[in-house]
Amino acid sequence: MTPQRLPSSARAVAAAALALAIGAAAGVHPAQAAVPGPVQVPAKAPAPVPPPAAAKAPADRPTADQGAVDGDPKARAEALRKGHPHVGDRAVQVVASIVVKVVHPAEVRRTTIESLKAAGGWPLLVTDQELHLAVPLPAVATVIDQLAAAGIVLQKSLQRVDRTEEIVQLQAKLKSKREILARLRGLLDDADTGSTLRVEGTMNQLLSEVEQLQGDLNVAEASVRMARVVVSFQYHQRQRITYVRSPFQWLNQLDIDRFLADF
Amino acid sequence: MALIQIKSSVLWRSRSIVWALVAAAIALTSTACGGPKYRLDAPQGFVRYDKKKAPAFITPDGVRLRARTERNYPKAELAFWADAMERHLVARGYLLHHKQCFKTARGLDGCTAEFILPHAGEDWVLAETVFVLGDNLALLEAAGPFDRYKKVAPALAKAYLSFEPEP
Repeated sequence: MTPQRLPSSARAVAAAALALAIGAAAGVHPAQAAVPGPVQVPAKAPAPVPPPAAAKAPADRPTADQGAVDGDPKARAEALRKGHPHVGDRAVQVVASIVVKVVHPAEVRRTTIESLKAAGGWPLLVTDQELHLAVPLPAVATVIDQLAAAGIVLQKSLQRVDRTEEIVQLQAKLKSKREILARLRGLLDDADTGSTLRVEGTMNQLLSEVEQLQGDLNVAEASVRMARVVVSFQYHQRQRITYVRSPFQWLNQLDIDRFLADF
Repeated sequence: MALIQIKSSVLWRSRSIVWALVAAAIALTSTACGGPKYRLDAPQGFVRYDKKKAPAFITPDGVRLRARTERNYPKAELAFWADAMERHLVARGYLLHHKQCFKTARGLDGCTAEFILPHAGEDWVLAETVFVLGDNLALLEAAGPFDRYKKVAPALAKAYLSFEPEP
C-alpha cells in the first residue's frame, strides 16, 4: 500500500499537535506552546519519564552534619563517604566552609592551592580574604585538616545536598525534547512552505530549550563530581554584633569602641 | 539622771555622724585617687603610659592593655563573673576564641577570655581578664587586630601572672 501525501491543512494540524506536545513536555501553557494555525486540537503529550525509586528524596535537602566537622574524624569520614556521588547511586553535592584565622594568609593560601592542585582540584576564586576551591571528594578531609592546622578555626560546616532528583528530571526532560525534535524533523520532509516555517520556528525554540537543559544538567553533574570548599580568613559578620543589655552594669561597658575611646 | 542620758545620746549621735563623715571623706579620697592601685609588669614589647594612674600599656603597632576597676556588685565569685561575661559578650555576637583561668605569682585567681570581633574592617581580639578583690573587680583589658594581638598574646599571658593589688 502506497502511503498517501497528507494535504497541507492536515500537516498543519499535525504540527500544531506536536507543538502542543512540546509545550506540555516543557511545562508551558498550551496557549503559549501552540503554533499559530487555523485549527488547534488537543494532543497527547508524551508520558513524562517517572523518576526512579532512588530519586524519591526531596531535592536540595541540606544535610549539614556539624559533628562531622567538629573534630570527630570518624564522623567526618563517614559524612564524606556518604557524600560520594557513587555511593548508593545518589548524586550528592558536598559544600564545606571553614573560617580560619591565620597570621600569614598569603602563605597559607599559596600552600593550600599547591596541595590542592596536587590532589587534582583547582581554585575557583582567590582573594585576599577568601578562597573557593573545587576539591576532589576524597581530598576534602585532607584539605580541611591542612587549613585547620595552619591557624585557628573559628567556624566549620559541612553540607550535603542531594541533587539526584534534579538530575534525573533534567535528563528526562532532555530525552523527551530530543525525541520531539526528531519527530519534527520527520515532518519537514513532507511539509509545504507555510508548514515548514511553522515547524522550523518550533524547532528553533525547542533547540534553545534543549541547550538550556543540557547546560543545567552539565552544571548539576559537575557540582556532584567535585566538592566545593569555601575558605574565609576573615570573621566579618559585622551584623552579628548587637546591643544586648546585661543586668550587671559593668558588663554593659565591655565594648571595643568604649575601650578604645577611654584608653 | 535623765539629763545625763540625753547628753550621752546626743554625744553618741554626734560621734556616729562624725564617723559617717570620715568614711565618706575616705571614700571620696579613694575615688579621687582612682580607686585601688595595681602592680603589673609591662609585657614584653609594650611600653607603659607613665601618666595614667592605672596600668596602661601599648605596643608600637597598637595593641593596648589597661587595668581598671569595677564594683563587685552583687558580690560574687570569679566563676560567676567569668561566666556572666562570656554569656554577655557571646550574646552580643562576639566569638569566644579562648578561655583560661589561672593563678598569679601571688596566688590570686584570675580568668582570661579572648573574643574575636569585627572592627573597622578587620578582625580584632578583645581579651578580658577578671580578678575578684573583695568588693572590687579588677579587669585587665587588652585589644588589638588579630594578627598583631596573636604575636604578643604569650607576653600578655606572662604579664598577667605578675598582677597584684598594691596595698
